[in-house]
Amino acid sequence: MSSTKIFLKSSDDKTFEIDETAARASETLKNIIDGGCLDGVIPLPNVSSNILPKVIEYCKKHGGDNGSSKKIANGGVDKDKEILPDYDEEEDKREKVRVDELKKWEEEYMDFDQQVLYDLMLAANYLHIKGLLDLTVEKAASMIRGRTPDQIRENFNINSDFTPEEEEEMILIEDEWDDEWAFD
Amino acid sequence: MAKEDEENEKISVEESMPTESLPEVLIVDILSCLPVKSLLRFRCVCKHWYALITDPAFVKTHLSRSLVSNSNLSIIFRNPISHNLNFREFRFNEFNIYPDDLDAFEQQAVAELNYPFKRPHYLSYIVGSCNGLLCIYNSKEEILLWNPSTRRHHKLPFTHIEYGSNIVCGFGHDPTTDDYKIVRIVQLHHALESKVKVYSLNTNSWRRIENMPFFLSYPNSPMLLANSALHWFANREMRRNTTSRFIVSFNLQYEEYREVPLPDFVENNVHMKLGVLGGQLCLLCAFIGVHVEVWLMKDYGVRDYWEKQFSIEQPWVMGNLYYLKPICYSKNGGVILQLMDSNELVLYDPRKGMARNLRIHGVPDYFQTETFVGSLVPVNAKDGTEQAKRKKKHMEHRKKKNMKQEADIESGSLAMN
Repeated sequence: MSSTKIFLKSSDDKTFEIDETAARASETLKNIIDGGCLDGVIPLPNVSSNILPKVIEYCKKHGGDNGSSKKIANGGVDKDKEILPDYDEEEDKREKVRVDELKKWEEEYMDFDQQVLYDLMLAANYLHIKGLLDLTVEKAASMIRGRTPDQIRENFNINSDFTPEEEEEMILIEDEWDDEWAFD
Repeated sequence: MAKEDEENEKISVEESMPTESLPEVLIVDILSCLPVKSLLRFRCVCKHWYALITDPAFVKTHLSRSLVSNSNLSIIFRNPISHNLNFREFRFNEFNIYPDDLDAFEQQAVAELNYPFKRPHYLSYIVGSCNGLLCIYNSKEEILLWNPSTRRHHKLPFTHIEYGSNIVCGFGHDPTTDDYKIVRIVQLHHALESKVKVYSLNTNSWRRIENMPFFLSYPNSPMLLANSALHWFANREMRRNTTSRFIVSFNLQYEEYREVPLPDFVENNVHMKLGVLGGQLCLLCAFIGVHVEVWLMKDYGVRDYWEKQFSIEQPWVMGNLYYLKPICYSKNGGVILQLMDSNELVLYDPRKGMARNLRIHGVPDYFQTETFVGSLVPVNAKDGTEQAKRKKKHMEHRKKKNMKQEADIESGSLAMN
């Protein structure tokens, strides 16, 4: 089953190959595969050829296992998770190595500029790849969390539409905040 | 009208965006990952973002994301014996269990919180914490709701207190009516019963409910919130003996008392203490000098069964295991505990059975702890009193600021900046 190949066509008509098991990381692709429409190539009109390889790389790493990195990162938070009574040191070490390796991979994988990040987020949203969507959304959040409103407007191409009076009031509220707590 | 404005806004924002910009659903996703401080700052980006961030639905989305991912979490430290009412906050967003991360964790210092309701000659304590709101009670019989992240607070209206021997309070949220409630129990002198009043934030008023027909076992411990119910130990007689002790649960929706069964094994020589861990009701059973077993209530309200999670052996934790308070899970399955008698925080790894002291810089010598999640949840009663107060405070602030600027110009200190 793992040898079954699937072909994906980007918006600019380039074809890419992916294993079926990897493609199942995407809910959208999974539904297409299960729907039996595997004849030929799956067209993805919303994903361009510079983003699609990135998506495939993520799917390959995560297989059909949606959002696995998330689960590891939040281990112990899961309320119904039972804490293992028997501690296996070897298993713990292997787990640590696995988590570290995955973290390192994610760090390298996520090393690109903002436009790629947003395009990848859009692709993850379109293809319903929850793990990738969480990863990109959290990355975007960590990038903007320390910014000023002006930088945000520039970033998201937004014009402030407050009247000068409203703006003054907003800035005062902001100042009130700054007076007591310093910026991050 | 506000809705109409919002609709218009949506169109204008979308039009102003270039094609490669993100759809609103993703913008909301990104915003819901941010700490409250960033969100308050980003309200003034544009009217549309203001509407998004202040939308009650977004406030809920942001809160539930923080709760599920265990992010935006802080520990509040308060020195309970000092009249100097300082609250200190320790945030651990990126906290991991690995030793190198632990060192970084300890190097972060606690930050002073500006508590808005100082009463220098009265003692105050934290009743509880829920969805980013703290409930504070002081010996002047004042009760306050406070959101330290948005720095908004609301003082509860005064309600007459019956002449009694002990007062116990609890604080929580009723999700069915989206109401925050405070329960105050006054144990009457020489009587088994207690008088009970419930405050509702939705109506901003107190009302008396059915008496609590039991005797409070620990009249100085606040009630504990788990599964939208408050919990405490009680006795059926006017004696605080340990054998007839049981757990009472008070459901915040139905406002009914219920007995929660204890684990079957319980013997007389076990010292029991209630706690909350990861939002679940937790029972700490101390076998003196041997170990403490930590049990969690599973399938709450349905099958109600206790499940042993782990036990903490005496050699690993110095001091008296008797006074343990579970604080929260760390990432990767560790548990942060407070040793009440030695005033220490310990990170315990249940799988390895190993503990490590956490030395956080700036923590007071004596402290009461409470965890809270950073949220935008408003503390205003639905009658709009907070809005009016804010406006007034805002005008005062503006005046003060102008005066300060003038004074600065006069003294020439502005040139120094």
